Amino acid sequence: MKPTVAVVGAGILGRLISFFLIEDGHSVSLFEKNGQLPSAKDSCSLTAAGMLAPFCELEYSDPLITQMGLESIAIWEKIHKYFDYGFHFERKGSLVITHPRDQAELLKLKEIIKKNFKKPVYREEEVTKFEPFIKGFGKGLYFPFEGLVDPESFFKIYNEKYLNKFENLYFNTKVEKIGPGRVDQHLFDLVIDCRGFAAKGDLKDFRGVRGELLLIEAPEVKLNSFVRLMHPRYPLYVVPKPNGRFIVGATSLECEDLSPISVRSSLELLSAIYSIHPAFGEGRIIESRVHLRPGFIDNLPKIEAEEGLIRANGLYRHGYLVSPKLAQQVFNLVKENRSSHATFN
Amino acid sequence: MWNLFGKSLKSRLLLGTSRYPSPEVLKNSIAFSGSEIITVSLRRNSGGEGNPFWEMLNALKVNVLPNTAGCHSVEEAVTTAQMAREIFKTNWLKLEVIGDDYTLRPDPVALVEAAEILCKDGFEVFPYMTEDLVLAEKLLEAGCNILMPWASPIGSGQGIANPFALKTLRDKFPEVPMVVDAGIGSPSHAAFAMELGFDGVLLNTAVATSIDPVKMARAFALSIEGGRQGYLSGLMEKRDFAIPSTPVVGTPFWHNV
Repeated sequence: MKPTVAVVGAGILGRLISFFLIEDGHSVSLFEKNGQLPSAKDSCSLTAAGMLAPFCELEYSDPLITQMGLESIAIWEKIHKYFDYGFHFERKGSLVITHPRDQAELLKLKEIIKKNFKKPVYREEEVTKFEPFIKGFGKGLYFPFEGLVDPESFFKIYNEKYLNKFENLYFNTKVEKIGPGRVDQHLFDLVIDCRGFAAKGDLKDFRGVRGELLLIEAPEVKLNSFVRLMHPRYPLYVVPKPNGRFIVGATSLECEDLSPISVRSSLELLSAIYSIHPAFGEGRIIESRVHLRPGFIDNLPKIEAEEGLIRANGLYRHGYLVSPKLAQQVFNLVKENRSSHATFN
Repeated sequence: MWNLFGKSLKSRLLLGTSRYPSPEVLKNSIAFSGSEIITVSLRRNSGGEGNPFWEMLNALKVNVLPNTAGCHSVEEAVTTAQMAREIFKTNWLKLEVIGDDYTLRPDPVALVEAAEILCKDGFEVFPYMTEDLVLAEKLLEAGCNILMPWASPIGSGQGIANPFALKTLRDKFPEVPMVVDAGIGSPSHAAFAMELGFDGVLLNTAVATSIDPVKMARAFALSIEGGRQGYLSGLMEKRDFAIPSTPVVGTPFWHNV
């Protein structure tokens, strides 16, 4: 008999771990404090832009993230196929651009990439060659292997096609206590805790990092792929979405504050996109989103395991980029029954 | 060892705490560099009950020097300072009042005004200033017991733009502790500041955004120590001709012409 499993947290990680387990014939029950398709306000996973940028992330992240990201993209491709291409996943590459006065940031990114990769992973060419719409930026870096997942369309297809494969679904259920083999009064052989920031009380050296982003509708603006604008304080990106919409983000602030986006951050994000193209000036601000990224002190994901309980968390800024690989690692732990007193980082 | 307002310190490196790849890298950079004073910004990251990042910094066994980075007026700076005193339980304050956003150049007029208010209110004010001599005088009159002239604009990594002015400032007030703050890009810049006789160097970007911040922090600690020892040992005066360091007895005198 395969162990019965409870997955707590139906964010991107919980959904992917469940996917691996169910495909392997496990009976899985899912607990989630929100509904099946929560608003971005209630879900870190649905706040995210869904970028798969393993190379660009090297600027601010450990090479481990790049490694996990590359493996995750391969897994995303399989998942995409599994769901009959029923959610938005693309690998059209990404473009990194910079204002002339921030050239130093671009040089630094090139240097870090050179340190980590022998083979070329980007092409340095005129920005207009890839994005004819963006003028006056000179040369940029185009990363052909990078891509995007659209979180909302993934959640939707998963709700529609996959939730029926679970043993039990406990949506809109606030879990009070998680222990080995136990979620409140429910008993299982194994409990997998992937609640993200909500697990804070149960984890050491763990905190939330505030991220703010804007959803803009600007039908005049045409972008082929997502664009990253080098910024001295945080990676700033513009991600094209269906219907002429764009996600513009994201700030990164060391505080656990969920209050609405600040005026300062709005100004920074908006002036950045306006500087990319004035046509953004005619756009409409559809909504602003604020959420807390769950992060360990080293900003790397971690799996903690004891008999009957696995905790996977710390996706930080890399939910869609690393969760397939992290989910696979959790699955391997379950499969090999190595889930006693191990910590993987 | 040096003494700063009753604290006995070994390190002359003051580190900023923003823009590190992770809090852990920041912690390790502080530990490996031996830095004993860290600055932390209250604006932007403020809000919400109990900031875990601040709690982490408070738990480190180093002196926290809160700053008013991002403040553009006397009122903002004074309010931020009072918040800082509450949160970090210290009367130390790095006073920053920005006058020009592009260069992050401090506003000297507002700086003096804010310094006067805060010194009267019991703060130990560390003013972030340009290297202007008269400004220094006014800040000392306002009650500051330490000065923090810039090397060049914040985050520029340009190093010491005006060594002559910094040297003049140093020589004019030999008794006042002075820390060079901002614009330092490489360990050699920091060493140069110390050779000029400054008491310490404050920096952030050059460490935080390097490829290996922990190693870079250590590199700065070593260069600052080297510069300090060099200053104390008395640097040789420059000459415009060569003088052999080994005896040249035995060389025919006409060969030296």
